[in-house]
Amino acid sequence: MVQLSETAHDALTELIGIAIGRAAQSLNEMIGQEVSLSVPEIEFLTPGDAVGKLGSKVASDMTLIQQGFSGPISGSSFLAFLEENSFELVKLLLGDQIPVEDIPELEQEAMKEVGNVILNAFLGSLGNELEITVASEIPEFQKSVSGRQIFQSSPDDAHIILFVHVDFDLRESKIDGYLVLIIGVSAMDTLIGFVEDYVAKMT
Amino acid sequence: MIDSPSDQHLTFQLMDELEVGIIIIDQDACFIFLNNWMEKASGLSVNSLCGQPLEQVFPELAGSRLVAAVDNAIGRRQSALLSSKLNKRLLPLSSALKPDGVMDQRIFIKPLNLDEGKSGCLIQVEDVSSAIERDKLLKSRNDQLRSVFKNAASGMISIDELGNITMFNPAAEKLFGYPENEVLAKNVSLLIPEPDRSRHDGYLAAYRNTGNAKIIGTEREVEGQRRDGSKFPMTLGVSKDIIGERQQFTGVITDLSERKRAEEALRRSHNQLEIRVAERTRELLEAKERAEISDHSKSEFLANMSHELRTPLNAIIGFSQMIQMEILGPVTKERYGNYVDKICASGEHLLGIISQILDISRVESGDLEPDEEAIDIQKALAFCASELEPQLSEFGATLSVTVEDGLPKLFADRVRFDQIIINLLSNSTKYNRPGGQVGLRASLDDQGRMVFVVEDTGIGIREEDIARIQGRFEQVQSSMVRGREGIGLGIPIIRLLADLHQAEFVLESIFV
Repeated sequence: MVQLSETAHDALTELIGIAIGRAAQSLNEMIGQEVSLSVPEIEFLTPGDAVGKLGSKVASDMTLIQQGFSGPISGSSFLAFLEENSFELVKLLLGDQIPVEDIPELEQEAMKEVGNVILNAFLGSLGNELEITVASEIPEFQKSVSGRQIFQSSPDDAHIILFVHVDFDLRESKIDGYLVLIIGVSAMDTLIGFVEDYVAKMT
Repeated sequence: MIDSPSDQHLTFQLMDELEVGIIIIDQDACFIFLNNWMEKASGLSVNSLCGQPLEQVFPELAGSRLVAAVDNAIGRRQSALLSSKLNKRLLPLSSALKPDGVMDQRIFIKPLNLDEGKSGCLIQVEDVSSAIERDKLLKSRNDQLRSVFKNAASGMISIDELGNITMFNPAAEKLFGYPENEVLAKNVSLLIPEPDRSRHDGYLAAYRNTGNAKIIGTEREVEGQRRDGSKFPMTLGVSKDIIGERQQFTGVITDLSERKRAEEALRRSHNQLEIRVAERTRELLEAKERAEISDHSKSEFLANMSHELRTPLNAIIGFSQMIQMEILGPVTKERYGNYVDKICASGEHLLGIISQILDISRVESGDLEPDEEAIDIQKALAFCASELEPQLSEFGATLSVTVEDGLPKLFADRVRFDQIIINLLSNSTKYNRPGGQVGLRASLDDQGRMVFVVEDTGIGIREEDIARIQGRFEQVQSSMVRGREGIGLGIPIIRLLADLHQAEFVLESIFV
């Protein structure tokens, strides 16, 4: 498993917190509503564990935005919502001018954009703090995905899952989401290296 | 790898042939390149833009997400996508598909590696105006259909090939008592009462296998079952459609409860009407019969009456003529006294008959109003007896009158009362045996009613004749007794006059 010193673990947690804060800011700008994101959980898991974790939390189908990233660290980032939650989010994004019945048609476009904004903010912040450049790709959208399918591309333990459970607290609703980073083991080591550099710089 | 000048030429040619817009931005956010598409759409030439900062060329985009995304791409190597739906401020481009407005765009922004390790950014623009327009059309069409579905007065329910409900409009919600979210994805047999409920899956399966359905395209009356378990009559018309590759069935439902109630009410009132018509017909038939009988009787009566009237009239004329003709010689009392008597008698007889007829018709037509006064019975009966003296002596009968002591006065029409008594006495006298007796008694019975009895020792009336006297014109007919002169029985008059006073008249005959 991942070998993180306690300080490194704390630092990474903090970095993710900052990154999520940036993401909240971007989302705020996008939908014009107060958004606060809180992070009840951060975990490092193997794909097998992740399936179990996600599988136990999420019984029904999910909406997924996937965005690959590269640079000193490469992997895939995901934003996952329960289907009804993603619908809620899109409703908020599109505002009141769009009637509810039209939302499913616009869902794909809107979710890709909002996913892109959130994930870019997240990765950008991490990159900033760690003083590395993490390039991101254009996101993809998938609907009706089960918990298992997310990790199908990485069936073996050669990857580490950084699992972040995010609560999107919007003025009129709360939306549960999951931010997931899938990184190769070696990339994970590199990341840990950067984190330790960061810790060293802080102290 | 693109290296040689000819390859470069190919690259730029390619860029200019693309049906999407291409902008290349350098590290300082200045324009390096625009392709043909972009030149056309923006109305700007690559030459005029080269080296110009993006924010200078499009100052209206300052602070926009587009500009921020470009900066992110250059600085952080992040890709982004933006669409018109979520972004008001995109590039000011025009499109043939949207002549009056700004092109609806989808923009991709990607980091680029330019020469000498510099970073840049690629902006790719797609014109989605037609897609937007098409979406608008689809939406408006969709809205129309949705509105039809939502506002239809009939219930509309769609099911998939397994019978699970996919659509359930508000009218159906009202009909069946379920909100939409309770029935979606449930099997439609939920709405069907037994025994068809269990059979429905079978019907669907059979249709899937054979393609034969009796129900498609026809409208039938069936029963539906509501949420509360109650059933109601409804019409159901089912159509089939293929959506994508799946089959879908849609049922249109109309509630027949009201119509059934109205039909039932109509049926009941129709039945009642028939009963009443039958009754009325019966009544009419009876009345017709009576009228016919009465008509018949009337004709007979008229026939008889005219005979009865003519007979004495002929006698009067005949005898008068004979006197005129001096058939027995010059006129003297001795010669013609007999004829004169006969003329007189016939005249009186005629008068009697006419009076009877007049009286009867007057009483019948209700013209006779009783002129009631207090009558002293002793005096009245004495008067009647005296009136009858001529007849009594003619027929050789004797009359005895008995009046109970202390009889109160009778409140009645004097004239009519006398008529009754005199008539009865007259009959008793005429149809008596020679030397016979007539008795007249007045008394009070134990119920306080005044009773008058006229008895005689005469020839009597047969029982069947008494019965016959009940009919009106029968009465009159039987009052015209042939072969007997005088006033006649007068029973009908007596009965009518008695009825006028709400008195009871009884006719009896005892044969010894």
